[in-house]
Parts: sequence; C-alpha cells; structure tokens
Amino acid sequence: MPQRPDDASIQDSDSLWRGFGSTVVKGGVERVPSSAFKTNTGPDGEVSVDVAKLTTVAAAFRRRPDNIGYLADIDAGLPRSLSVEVSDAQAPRHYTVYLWDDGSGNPAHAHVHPPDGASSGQQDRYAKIMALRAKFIRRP
Amino acid sequence: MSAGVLPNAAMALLTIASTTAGYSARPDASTAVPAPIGHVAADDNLHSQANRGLREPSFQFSDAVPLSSSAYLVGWYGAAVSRVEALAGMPAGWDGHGSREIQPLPHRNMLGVLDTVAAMNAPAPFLSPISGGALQAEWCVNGRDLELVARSSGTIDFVKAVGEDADSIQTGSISAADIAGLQALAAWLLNEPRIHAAAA
Repeated sequence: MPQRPDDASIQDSDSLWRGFGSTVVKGGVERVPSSAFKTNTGPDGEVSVDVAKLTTVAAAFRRRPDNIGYLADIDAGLPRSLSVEVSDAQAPRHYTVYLWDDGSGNPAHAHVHPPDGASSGQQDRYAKIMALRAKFIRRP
Repeated sequence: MSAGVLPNAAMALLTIASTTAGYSARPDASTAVPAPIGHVAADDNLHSQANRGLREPSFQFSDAVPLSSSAYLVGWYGAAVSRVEALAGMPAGWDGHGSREIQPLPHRNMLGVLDTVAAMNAPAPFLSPISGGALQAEWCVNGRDLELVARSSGTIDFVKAVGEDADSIQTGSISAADIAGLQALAAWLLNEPRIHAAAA
C-alpha cells in the first residue's frame, strides 16, 4: 500500500499502541522487542496501531488474541521525526501516521507508514529506535 | 567436529535427541493457559514458556535440521527449536491484524541460524514473530544487541547496536546460506575478535 499523507488529527503527543507478545529482558530490565515494529510485507511495511485517545486499554487488548500480552506505547511524534534520504526526492521523507479503516469496526485503528523508498535496512533501523524509546503496557 | 563429518548414524541420533529434548517438558492441561508469545529465556522454565497456549506444532523428524555436536551441547538449543516450532504453528491472524502464519522459509532458516549460533556457545536468544510471517532472534550480551530476522525472501537481515546509542545501529542482510557471515555476526556479539577476523 503506498504511503498516505500524515493525519493532522493525530497530535505528536498522542500515544500509539502496538501489540506484541512478550518483553525482552536486557540487563535485568524489560524492554519492547524491535520485532514489534517490523513487518514481513515488503517495502510498504506499514504497522497497525491504535490511537490511544480513541480507545481504552481494555478495548485494545480485547481486540487482540490472548497471546498478545503487551502494548508498546510510543508518541506519534517519534515516527514522524524519522526520515530517510531518497535519491529521487529533493527533501528527506518522513514516516506518516494516519487513521485507517481496516473494516474491523475499530475507530482507533491507524497506520504508521515508512517513507516511500525506504529500504528494509532503514526500516529495521527505525524499528530499533522506536523499540528503544517505547514504553509498554502489560495486559491487565 | 563439524556436522559435515559426522557419520549418518550419529547425525540421526543427534537430530532425534534434539527433537526429543524440545518436547520433553510439554506442560500438562492444567498449565496450558494462553500466554504471551515471543519469549525464550535461558532458565528452567524454557520448555513451559515455549509451549504454553500455542497450537501443537506439526513437527516431523524429517523437518529437523542437522545438529552440529557443539550445538547439541548448548543447553538452550532444544528449547529454542521447540519455541520456533511453536511460533510456526500459530494460526493466521496471531497478531490481531490479519498476519499470515510464519512462512516456511523463515521457519527453516531460523532453525539454521540457531544451529550456527549455538555452535559458537552464544547465550539463549529471545525469539519473536514478526507480522507478515517472519521470525526474529535477538541477543543482548554486555551491551551489544544483535537481531537476526529470517524473512520470506530467504535473507537474514541483521541489526547491530551498542547500548542505547541510536548512532551505533548498523543494519544489513546476508543469505541464510552464508554460514561464515552468521558466524561473524555472532562473533561480534560475543566480542571475539579472533573468530570475527577469521570469519570476515
């Protein structure tokens, strides 16, 4: 799916929630694994999230299978701050965040979409950065 | 001794032994509750963590990757293989967003990654699924992070990082058949310059 324009209704300070299975323990501290922000869908590796202000923790977990034990929590401004230099573009391209109706009836569903032209290596790098800066919410 | 020089009978024994080890501590019904996915740790709960709440994997002896003798001696190997099989057995939609099942190529190639890394006496990996059907193994050793992703394309994508420093992040991709490349990445993780230099 091509990248879509950024959605101004989602503020940089708004939390985005991404489900994942379990935390990684590093140095005795639980962390979000970068796999939470990766996809195996090719160059258009958008990641599905919930916009926190449009849902609740309980509803977000209820919509996910029981084996999704956590929600990674990042500010929308974080992916928007990540950009890549693309050879055929005059300015760096940024991640965009936009609401997306996936047909599930979830009004909070949104996509975090990598810049068009971003390589898989660049996306992996930014997945790592998002994981390093993410907080998490454990399933109640 | 490498896997390549083991007699066939010995290879068969090692393969069966590893498979059996991976299933030796399957939980009973009372403990088989849904659990978060994605976590393998190097402790006594490995087997139960690896199998709770996931569909019974359809694993055949013929699917087992040959083990090197070194890999067999690493305590976490059997549990990690079991974990990969459990992840590969997850149904479509496991992420709540319609993900495909773990794809056959990432499944097979991750087993190869574990074999290579275990033979270098690395610690236990954290194993997690990736939306769309890939698998990731992740280590943190003395502040060095290594992530290896087995993708549907047949490549192993890697991320190396030191501590929390975003500027230290390096990414790349190697063929799953590039054993020397995998050994070099593991040597970097373990900070073993001699092996790293030999494998480079």
